[in-house]
Amino acid sequence: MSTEERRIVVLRSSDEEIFEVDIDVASESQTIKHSIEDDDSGRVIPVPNVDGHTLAKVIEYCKKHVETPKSDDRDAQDALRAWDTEYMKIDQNTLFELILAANYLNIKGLLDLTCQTVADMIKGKSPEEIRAMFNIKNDFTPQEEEDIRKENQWAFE
Amino acid sequence: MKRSCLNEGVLGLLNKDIVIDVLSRLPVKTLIRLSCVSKGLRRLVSDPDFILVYMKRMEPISGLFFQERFRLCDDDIERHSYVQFGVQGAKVHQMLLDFLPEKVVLLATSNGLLCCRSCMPSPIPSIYICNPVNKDWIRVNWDAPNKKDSIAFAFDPASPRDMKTSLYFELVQVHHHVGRCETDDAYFSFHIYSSPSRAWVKSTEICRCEYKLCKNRATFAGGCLYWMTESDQVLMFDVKNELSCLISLPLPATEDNVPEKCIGESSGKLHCVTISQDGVVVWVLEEHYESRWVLTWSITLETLEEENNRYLYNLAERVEKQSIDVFFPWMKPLAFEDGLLVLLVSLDVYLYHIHDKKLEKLCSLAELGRHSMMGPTVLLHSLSLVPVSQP
Repeated sequence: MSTEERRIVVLRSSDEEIFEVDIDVASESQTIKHSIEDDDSGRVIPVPNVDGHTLAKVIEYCKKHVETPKSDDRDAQDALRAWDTEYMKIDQNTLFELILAANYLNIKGLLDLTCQTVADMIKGKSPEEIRAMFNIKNDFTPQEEEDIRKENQWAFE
Repeated sequence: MKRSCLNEGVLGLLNKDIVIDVLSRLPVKTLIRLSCVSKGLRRLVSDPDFILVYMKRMEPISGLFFQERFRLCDDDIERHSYVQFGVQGAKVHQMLLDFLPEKVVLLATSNGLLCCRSCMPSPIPSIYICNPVNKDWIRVNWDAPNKKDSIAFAFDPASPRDMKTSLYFELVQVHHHVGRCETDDAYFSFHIYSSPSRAWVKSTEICRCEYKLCKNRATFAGGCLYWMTESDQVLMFDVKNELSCLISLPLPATEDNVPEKCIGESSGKLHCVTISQDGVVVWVLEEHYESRWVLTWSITLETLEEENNRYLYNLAERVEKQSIDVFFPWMKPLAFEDGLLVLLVSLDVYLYHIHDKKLEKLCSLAELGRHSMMGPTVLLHSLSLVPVSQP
């Protein structure tokens, strides 16, 4: 089998869902790329840490970014960024699953995008808002909390 | 891959590297807020792995430290204040350095860290390096304590630092030797302290100059330290090569035009701000040994007043008259750094953004102390989370 014919890669998610993906799209993931290089017999590549729902979303990102030609054109860059913003309109759980997937699959662009999205969610929020958003337990005693606030008020009021 | 390091709700799903990536994208003020959210997050914000990533950033200036100084006598004044930029309401905060073991005199700031010395008299006069955000501090042995000397402080957070070793910084103490008789020339000597060696070394370099330093504060720009002297000159000391020279200021005083001046660093170069009847002029030093300054920005008093008539009134007329009363100029620059100019106009302190041409009223001098009119120490400061003592 010559390399020109082998354009499709088969991925299997943790919940046994099968995805047939173009090899260039799959290679956006450095992890999968190395898997293919190590063993190009054409077997199914398991992706044990990522479920079907998340893997579909990852593939969507990779497809778009592979299909979009790299260009210095301002409008093209803006259009891609706008697509990324729409793409990121997802629930919190999917967002976090996506970060973990991007990290495991080693897809730099997706990891950057997801981490930046989380950072943007945190910016400008008060401690209470951050706790509510991420369901974080406040383990300071009221006195400790009061002391910390007073100490740092001059820096972030 | 460690799945969860924090017991922090949803964030607990992420491993440490990812959380650090997210945190590294946040401004310091947000990070400080985060450290108030939970104990786990508080720990993470001061985690050595995070600090390593964080140290490579440059934070914008967000406030200034202010300390009164007597102009004519040598006594130290303990009181100091911090003025916050860009906030509504209460901007002035008092005595933020109370966590230090004794009362201090502010000397310099560098990339978020503050250098100060014991108020004299003190049982063991020392120099302190501290970070007011995390209240971390260290004491530096001061071999030759002398409150008349100027101490400069240079800290570069981007310089390679192994987290296991302590902070890397340099101090330079400048002493003005006055000739004992008429034939002896007066000169400046330099003592250098570098933190790895923990020792003060006297430089063989000296700089002949009759005049002493007028504002004891040094400016660090492009590897060199600069101080204003009581004449129209700036003392320069190249720390690495241990070379010094005197640089003439761009606008010498004439009989009827005595400009108010200050120096500061912006874009890695020394700048000088002069305020006179000609307006506010910013110069950049292009060549040390030729004292070559290039005018880089200016605004006339009339235009400044027009654009800010809410605060400024009759500016040109009043500045013209200020040559008569040298002790109480109507308008003078207090500090300059990174395109931010701290101005004193009448009895109020303002912040002027050179590039945006925005004037912000900070506070009145009264809020900063009775003696704030005389040469106060004004240090522009950026927030930082860098630890000072060994982790």
